Amino acid sequence: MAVLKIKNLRAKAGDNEILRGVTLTVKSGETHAIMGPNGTGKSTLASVVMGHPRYEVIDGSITLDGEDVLAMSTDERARAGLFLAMQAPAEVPGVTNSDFIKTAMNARLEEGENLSLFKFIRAYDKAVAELKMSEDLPHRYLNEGFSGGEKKRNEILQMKMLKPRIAILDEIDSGLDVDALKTVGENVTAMKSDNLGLLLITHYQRLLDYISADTVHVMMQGKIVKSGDTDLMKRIDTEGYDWIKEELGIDDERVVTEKDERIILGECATKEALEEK
Amino acid sequence: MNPTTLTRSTLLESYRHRIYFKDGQLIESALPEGVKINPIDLGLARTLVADFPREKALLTLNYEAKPKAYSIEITKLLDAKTPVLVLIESKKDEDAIFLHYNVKTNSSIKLVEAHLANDRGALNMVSIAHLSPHSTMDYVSISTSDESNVLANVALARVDAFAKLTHVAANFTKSATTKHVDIALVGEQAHASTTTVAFSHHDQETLFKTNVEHFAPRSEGYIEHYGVASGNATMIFEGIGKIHKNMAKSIAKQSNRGIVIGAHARLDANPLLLIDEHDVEAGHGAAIGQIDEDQLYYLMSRGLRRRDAETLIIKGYLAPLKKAVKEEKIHELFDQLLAEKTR
Ligand SMILES: Nc1ncnc2c1ncn2[C@@H]1O[C@H](COP(=O)(O)OP(=O)(O)OP(=O)(O)O)[C@@H](O)[C@H]1O
Ligand SMILES: [Mg+2]
Repeated sequence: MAVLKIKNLRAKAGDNEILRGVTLTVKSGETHAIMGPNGTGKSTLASVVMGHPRYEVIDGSITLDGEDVLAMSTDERARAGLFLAMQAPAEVPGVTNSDFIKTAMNARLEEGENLSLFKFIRAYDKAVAELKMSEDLPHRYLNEGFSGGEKKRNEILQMKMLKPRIAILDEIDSGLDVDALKTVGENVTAMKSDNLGLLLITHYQRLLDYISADTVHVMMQGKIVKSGDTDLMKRIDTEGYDWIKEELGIDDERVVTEKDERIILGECATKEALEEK
Repeated sequence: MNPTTLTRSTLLESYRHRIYFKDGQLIESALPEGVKINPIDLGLARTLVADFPREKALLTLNYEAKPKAYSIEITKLLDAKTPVLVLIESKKDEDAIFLHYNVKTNSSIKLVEAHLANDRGALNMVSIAHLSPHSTMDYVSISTSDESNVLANVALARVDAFAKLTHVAANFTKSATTKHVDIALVGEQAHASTTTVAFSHHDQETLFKTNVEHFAPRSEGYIEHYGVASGNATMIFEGIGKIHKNMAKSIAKQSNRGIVIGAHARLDANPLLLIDEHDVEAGHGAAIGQIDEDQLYYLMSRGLRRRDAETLIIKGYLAPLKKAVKEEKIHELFDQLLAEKTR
């Protein structure tokens, strides 16, 4: 049983406050979905939970089974059972996919313990087949030259191998064709258990046709502004977000408004000018 | 096992066909049909070096160290499954070796040249490869040394029409090192690619100069440098692609990549393109800096500790080497040599 508790979380990147008080609890056995228009802080929330160095937490807390997640480094969070399938995973040239996963699995073992190579290869090949990925995958460099869909599947492959307790899947459906979406959906559903809590970030109800969710949240202006069951998602799918904005009196749903953006751009331009000198 | 012993035994176990020099003496040679080794006199070596078409020599043979000179002649098509190892081990104060690789027309060879420099010595190793028309040479060199050594290595190559040279140089030395690769493309459609992979740590000062000069039209030259510098090490990449006038439709490309670890290491790349002809394709790119933050975060987000993540990213730089050498044991050796520098 795992409980991820996010309480009144506020975080910024540079001078920009992006998360403005997020509160959310995900328990193992549950599946939550987060929706929301572009630029409302969904990926930032995922990154802050995982400990991306570019964000600074200004207030609030994140705990996993009562342990302070914010005090942990990114790798410690992963080893504690958190997993994030990223919207845009990095490419790492020269590092083969299988070497990477092997190292990640080894990192989870106690000192002195060693991963059985035979078992690893068997599990890996099985996962590759289940995700209908190409057989040369283990020897390819991590995400380098992968198509959008291949990257997404590769994230799920890692999830299958690493068996997290709480997994956040950030737009795992984007860039997937219908068949791939089905494959990924089935694989994630197959992993569902009383020991796995899921948080799906998505724009489309379609994903929930393959991975059913219990609770749906809507994010705007760096906060969760509305929660409900899957009917909420269906309504968003057909009507969009305007009705929610109206209901809540929200004018601009984004975190960084156009006015702010101009300021950021201005700063960057000055910085570049300074660096050129 | 000490690193030298390990390297020597791994190499000797991995290659059936080999030439083994120790302190300037030819200890062993076991060669396939179509490859022959013969001593040559220094006068001839001197002429070969002097005749090499280039503007100025940067490093030459140390004649004072009374170099031993040999010619290795390749007269057959030998595929990559028949690689020949040339192992040069040196413990002497001053050791100089000159090798002439003579690849005849329509012949080909895969050659793995290894330099093992130990104890207080200084190894000066000069090779010159002649690739006759329509020949190919797959030339891998691996350099190692201990802390007290000095390695000065020059690899010259003259590539004739329709010949192809693929050169991959790995540098794992632990001491001051200068490596100079100088390739002259002298025949039409001559093709050369040269990749240097180097790791410098502690107080090492290392210089890698790579020069590819186009003396023929439709010739192609590719220079790639991969480097990692840590501790107080300095590493310099100097790559020059030069296309002479009228050598139309030639290609000169260069890329420099590097990772600098810590605040005291230095890695500089000075790419240069000297183009005297307008109908060519030329360019260079560089990416040198700290370890990429997003890559590090990605690996750590899967549970890798920072150090392991860094090591894996650095290990990624070995990829061209592993592609160039198929022997599994040599891959392990590379990992081992790298581990000695990253731990
Ligand atoms: N590191 C950063 N530096 C500056 N601004 C950032 C940073 N990360 C996010 N932002 C800004 O914060 C806002 C929210 O970004 P985020 O990626 O969290 O949105 P999102 O809800 O995931 O959007 P999408 O649906 O398009 O994926 C955006 O305006 C974005 O530009
Ligand atoms: Mg996003």
